[in-house]
Amino acid sequence: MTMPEALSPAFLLLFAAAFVAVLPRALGPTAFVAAFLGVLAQLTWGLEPGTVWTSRWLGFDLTPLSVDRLNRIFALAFALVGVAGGLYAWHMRERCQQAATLIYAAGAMGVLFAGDLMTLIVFWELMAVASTYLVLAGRRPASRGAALRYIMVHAFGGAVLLGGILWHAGQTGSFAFAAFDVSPATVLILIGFAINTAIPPLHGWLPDAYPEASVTGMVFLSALTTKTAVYTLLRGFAGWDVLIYGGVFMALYGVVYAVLENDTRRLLAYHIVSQVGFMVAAAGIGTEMATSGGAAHAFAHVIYKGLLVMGAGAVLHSTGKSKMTELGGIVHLLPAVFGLYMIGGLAISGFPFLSGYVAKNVVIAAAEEAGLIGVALLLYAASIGTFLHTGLKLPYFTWFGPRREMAVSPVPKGMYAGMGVAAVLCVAIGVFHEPFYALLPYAIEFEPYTSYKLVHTAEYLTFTALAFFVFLGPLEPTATVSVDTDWMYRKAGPIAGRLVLSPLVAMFSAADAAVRGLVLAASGLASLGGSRVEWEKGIPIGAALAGALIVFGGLVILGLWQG
Amino acid sequence: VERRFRRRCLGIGLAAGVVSLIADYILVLGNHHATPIWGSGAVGYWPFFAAFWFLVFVFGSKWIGKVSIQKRENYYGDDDA
Repeated sequence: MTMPEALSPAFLLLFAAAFVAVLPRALGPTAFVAAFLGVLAQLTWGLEPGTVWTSRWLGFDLTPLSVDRLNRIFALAFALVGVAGGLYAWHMRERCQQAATLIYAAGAMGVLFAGDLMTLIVFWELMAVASTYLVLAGRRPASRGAALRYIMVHAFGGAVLLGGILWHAGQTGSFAFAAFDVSPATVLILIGFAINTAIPPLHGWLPDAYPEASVTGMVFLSALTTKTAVYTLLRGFAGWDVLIYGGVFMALYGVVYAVLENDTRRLLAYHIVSQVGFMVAAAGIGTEMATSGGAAHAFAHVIYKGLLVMGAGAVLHSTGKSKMTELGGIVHLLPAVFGLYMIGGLAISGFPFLSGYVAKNVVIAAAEEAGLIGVALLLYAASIGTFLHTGLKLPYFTWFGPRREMAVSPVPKGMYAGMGVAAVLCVAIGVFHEPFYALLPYAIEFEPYTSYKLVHTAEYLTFTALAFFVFLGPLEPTATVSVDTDWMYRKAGPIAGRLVLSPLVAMFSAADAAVRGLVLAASGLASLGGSRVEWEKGIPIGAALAGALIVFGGLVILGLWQG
Repeated sequence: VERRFRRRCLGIGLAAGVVSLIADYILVLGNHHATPIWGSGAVGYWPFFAAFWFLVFVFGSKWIGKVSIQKRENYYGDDDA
């Protein structure tokens, strides 16, 4: 075991989580923000690319810390959203939620800096467990069900990932986390990563769980899980063609559902699916420019999505409502929240001089450079959809539209501070794009501010806005829910379970009753002979029956096989 | 108030649209179009592209929603969204 050159930021956050859990409640928010500022300082001055910590444990060669430019930029985004999110949650005094958020962020950092798959799976599962608490912390009747489904899906994903990792290690003799070749084992690993990336049809957990999380918890949920998974795709699966098509499908799929959605937070959840599609497509393209584009877009997305979720959360905190059919006409009550939300809304839509413009266009340019013109066009189309639902539909029907009377409580100052930090970052990245590009994993030659790009962006955004105000009627939200792939385990699963299990349970109950009768009769006969057999209280009949059935079944199979 | 706001937005949008089309025309005159996307050198390509995909998203989504995926609010039970 070598002495560590530096510790992973994950350990700093885990230490902070333990500290927050025992601190007086009033000091919790300060410690929370200080932890992320500490990580920022560590990333700026302490963790240079090339820093490695290796260790040997139970015969395995582990690398808990391996820093390069790819994981460093993701970690930087997570630390920044941690600071903004910490300010946003300044009013919140729940120590459990603060500690769970820090553990969740520690899991994400641990995955980012894991140089081997064993370390990765440990932090991967830590993320799953800690993030489940944030869903539970929504404390709405729907939160418990959503949290249960969330943890079950992630437990399944973790099991698939672990199976793939062990299979892969068995084949190659190595746990190193690097670019994978195609094999059944690596396909299993890909499925495990794809579940957290929310690639349809494996995405149902995201729009199901995130909107039920706490107002502050959703900020971190929207930033960490999917982007950590995107990082794993960029590192392990760059250049796998299937990801190009999966990513483009995601980008359009999320738009379709977002157009139909009534709940603002669920709309933003679908929008995560759409935007992560750009990053997945970038991983699939796999060139240096695409990898840098994917990382740039993930960085920008963590910040502006955090801002959008904070805006929708501030409305929920203030009005107690998140459905557009119950909101409307509140711009005069929450004007600053509207202004800050719109910076995020315009950034995500790719408005010039905001972060989305300089990030998203790198991915599209990478597709054009790779000769994937159809992919580039479909990503442009998804950008139009993004502006339609996040930049126009959601703000119009939330802050404008038909005015509804409602009581509004004041938005805490910390919420404004958190949104302000995120908004400033959106503008700063858009304006100072060259220092931002210098952080990317690979140097890129891309100039976003050419006359052509500016004019065509202005054209498609302007005409999308025009079409929106012409076709407002069909876009009006309706009080409905949209059935998605989570229907499989929320509706079809229980029905199928009942159809299959009910006859089985009835059959085994009948068999149990019959055997119980036989045993009682036998024990009665035996007692007549003076040696009472105390089976009834000594031996579980069900277990005996199950054992007998297993032995019998085994003998039948053995017989058939021999025959 | 809502109608007035909508009319104002439409007016601003139209003005911005006309300005962007003029800028596009000037770019074409100056031969400043450099893109591998076929047809994108024509004036009005991107407005047409935006309008086309807008209609596809709005009416396509609404149609899919109507025929299959949109259900009543308590579809999954009273305490589930």
